[in-house]
Amino acid sequence: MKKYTVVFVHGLAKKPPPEKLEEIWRWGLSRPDPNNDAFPNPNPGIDLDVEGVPALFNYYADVFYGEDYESEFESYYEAENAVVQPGNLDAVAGELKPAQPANERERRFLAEFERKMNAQPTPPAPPADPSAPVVTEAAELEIASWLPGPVKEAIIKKAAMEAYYFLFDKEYQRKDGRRFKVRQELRNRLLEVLDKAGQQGENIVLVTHSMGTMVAYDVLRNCPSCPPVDTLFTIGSPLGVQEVQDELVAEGENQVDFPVATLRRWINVYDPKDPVCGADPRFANDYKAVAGKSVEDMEESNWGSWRHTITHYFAGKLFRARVAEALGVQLR
Amino acid sequence: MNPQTVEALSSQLKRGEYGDPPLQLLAEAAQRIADELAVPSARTTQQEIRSAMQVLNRHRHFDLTRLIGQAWHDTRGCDARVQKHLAQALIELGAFDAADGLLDEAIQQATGSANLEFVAEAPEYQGLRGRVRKQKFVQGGDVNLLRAATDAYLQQYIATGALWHGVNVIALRLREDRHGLPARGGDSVPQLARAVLEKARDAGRRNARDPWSLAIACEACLALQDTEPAAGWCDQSELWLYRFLAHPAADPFAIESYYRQLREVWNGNPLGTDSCVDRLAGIIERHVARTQRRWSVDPRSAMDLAKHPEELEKNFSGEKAFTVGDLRNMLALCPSIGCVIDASGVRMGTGFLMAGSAFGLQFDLVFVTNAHVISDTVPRSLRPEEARITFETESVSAGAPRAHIIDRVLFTSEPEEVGRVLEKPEKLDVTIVSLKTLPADVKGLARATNIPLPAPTTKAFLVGHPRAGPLQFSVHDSLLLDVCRYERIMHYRTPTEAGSSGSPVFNSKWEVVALHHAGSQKARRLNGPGEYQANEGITLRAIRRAMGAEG
Repeated sequence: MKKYTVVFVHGLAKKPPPEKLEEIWRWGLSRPDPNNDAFPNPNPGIDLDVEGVPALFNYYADVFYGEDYESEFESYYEAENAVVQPGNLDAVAGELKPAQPANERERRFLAEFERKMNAQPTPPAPPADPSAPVVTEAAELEIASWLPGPVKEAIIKKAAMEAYYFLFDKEYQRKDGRRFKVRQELRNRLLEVLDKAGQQGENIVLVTHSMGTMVAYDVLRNCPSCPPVDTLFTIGSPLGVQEVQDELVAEGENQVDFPVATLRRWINVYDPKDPVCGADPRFANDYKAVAGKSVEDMEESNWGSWRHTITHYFAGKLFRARVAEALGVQLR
Repeated sequence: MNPQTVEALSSQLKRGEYGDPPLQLLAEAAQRIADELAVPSARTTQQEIRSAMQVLNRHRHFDLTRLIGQAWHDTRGCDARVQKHLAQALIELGAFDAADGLLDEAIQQATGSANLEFVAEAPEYQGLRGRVRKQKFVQGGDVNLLRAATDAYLQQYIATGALWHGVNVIALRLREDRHGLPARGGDSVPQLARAVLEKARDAGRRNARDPWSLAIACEACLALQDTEPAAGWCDQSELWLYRFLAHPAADPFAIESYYRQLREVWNGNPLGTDSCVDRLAGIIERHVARTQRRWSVDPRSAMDLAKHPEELEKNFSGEKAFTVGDLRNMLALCPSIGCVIDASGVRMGTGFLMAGSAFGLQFDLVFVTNAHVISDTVPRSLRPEEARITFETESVSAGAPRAHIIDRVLFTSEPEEVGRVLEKPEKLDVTIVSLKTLPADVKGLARATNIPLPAPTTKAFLVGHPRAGPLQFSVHDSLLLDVCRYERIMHYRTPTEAGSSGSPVFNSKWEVVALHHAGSQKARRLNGPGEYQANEGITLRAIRRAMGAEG
């Protein structure tokens, strides 16, 4: 048995197939000296295979978007400077059925979530450049830097809907007719992966992004069968939004808190210009400390006009230093 | 079909056949032949020994040629061809004085005996003598040796007209001019170079399968560029070089041999921009990096690069095989990697310096190698008191070879068969020693804290002194295949050669993960049934565990 195992949980929107998504995430974490302007070199990466750390990927994008994956991946590592255009947004980010709020609370959730994210000041959209390559696939969105304003708004709307389906445990029917109770399904999937991880390593390090951070917190705090996790990374997370916290608070409690029964350490990574976490990027003041344990908030730079990109967060020197510390490896 | 037994393989070698056998089996077959010679009544014939040595040299198993040749020489005396093959092997292994002694003995036979076999081989002996002088000149800079080398090649060229010797005469005469040695009579260098070029062109037309005439033509043009700088010979030289590199028979060994000639005799610097030879060296360097994902560096270049790291950026920033950061890290390893030699200077293996604390030892630095390279008990290994350790970077800085002797053996564990995974007892094929003296300002190699996971992208890189030549970085096809369940042994596909024993095995962060010890074309898989071609290393974790430095 290895000392550590990593479990990744992805974020919002349509994704490439699981193995490709994992490859992109591993690339993002391992590439050396990724952006000298944002993070001066040297900035060594962390290759989990080289460090002898097994990793598992918790994948759930198929619940919303089915399995109609793209098959061409040749260019996705070149897509950092590509631009997502409104015209092909559905192809890139996937089509989601509009939410049908059943009551005032659900309606308010959708409106407030979206409003708070759109209210965040974010870097300006790129000037129109007809020669800029256009993002055409979900894999490319995973590393894209440039999103025009209308595209950002559309993705935020999608984030609100995904959060809604999850937090209110709505039944979602995919295009192919398959139905899921979203919160239950996503909880089960993560629990299954965590169980497997527990068999591979003595300590689990959970690295989660965006919507995936909600699933992770929910499982750690609200699922009694959740195995112990050593370190939780929440990256670009909407867990600071009050309306999200209201739906995650544990039974019998009046405030979200540190899930001390299942978690040793929680590190929250944010870029204040990331719209998904920007409304309230710091959690230490929201999640009640328990037994002396509280969230460690850490500001990290992203770049481009879309400051939510996971592979950019993975390039961060502070983030990499914390991951290395959590895994007991040396950055070189 | 490859022979599967030592007996069958030794018979095959004695017939002059090779068939790409597993290295371990080959070593055992050579030992068997050598052992046969110890028996006076053995039926092994002179012709069989000659054939075996010739085929082993052709495939660059110089250590095995030496084993058989030495056994012959000790029991049967001087034979015209055995002596030649043995001297060739010793030169390749770096034992120049021992080779010189053999050549003197053979030349004496050629002049003083009626045995015409010695007379027929005499030009070869002279050519080899030239090679010895040339290598010793390269090593120590003594111009008397340069002169002697030129004389020996010239004698051979006049006697046989062999192009290879002719081009050496040209290259060495230009070195003589640079050193201000008295001018020679006879044909001038340009005349010689034109003649060699013409013959090389002709040889290339007659035998398209031979790549050497292309390299010789390249070198002849290089000499003409030196003497007629405005005539555009450098472009011609470059053209011949590209033809040579593109030739299907120009294998890594052929390319390395020519590259060594450009570096050592012509002072070519792949990172320089001043001269035609620098241009050629740069072309070869990039070709090797791109096609073989292998990188050799001689100590002088390593030191130059360490002083001028911006050169790396300039020369390698367009390469995808390595990043500039990789190259910088690789250069930093060189001073800590050493060569184990015997008293005659023959290279027996590789080894490396690490902090003693890595093994729970109270020494600043310790030297790590295989037990089958240095041991008091393992057959055919060097006794610690006979072993010498050299570090090329240090020797080049000092201008002369520097040898370090062993103070004491701190830990040793005998070898185990390749692919054998036992929980206990652990046989780790390692010897860790302290040295009486150490090279200055060397920190030792970094230790990896974790064992990598086998995956399609996980690499295991080897750095060592394969046979002859500069420190070589094996990064071609360097896949980590598997790790045993006790994390004691790892298998990798990284190509290795004799002389690689004791090499550090690195992860892609250039931290040492294992000690290379053997390879086999039919290694037992570490997990599950079956066999595959693999090289094997002992993890540092296992060594540390055995020494009580890790729980």
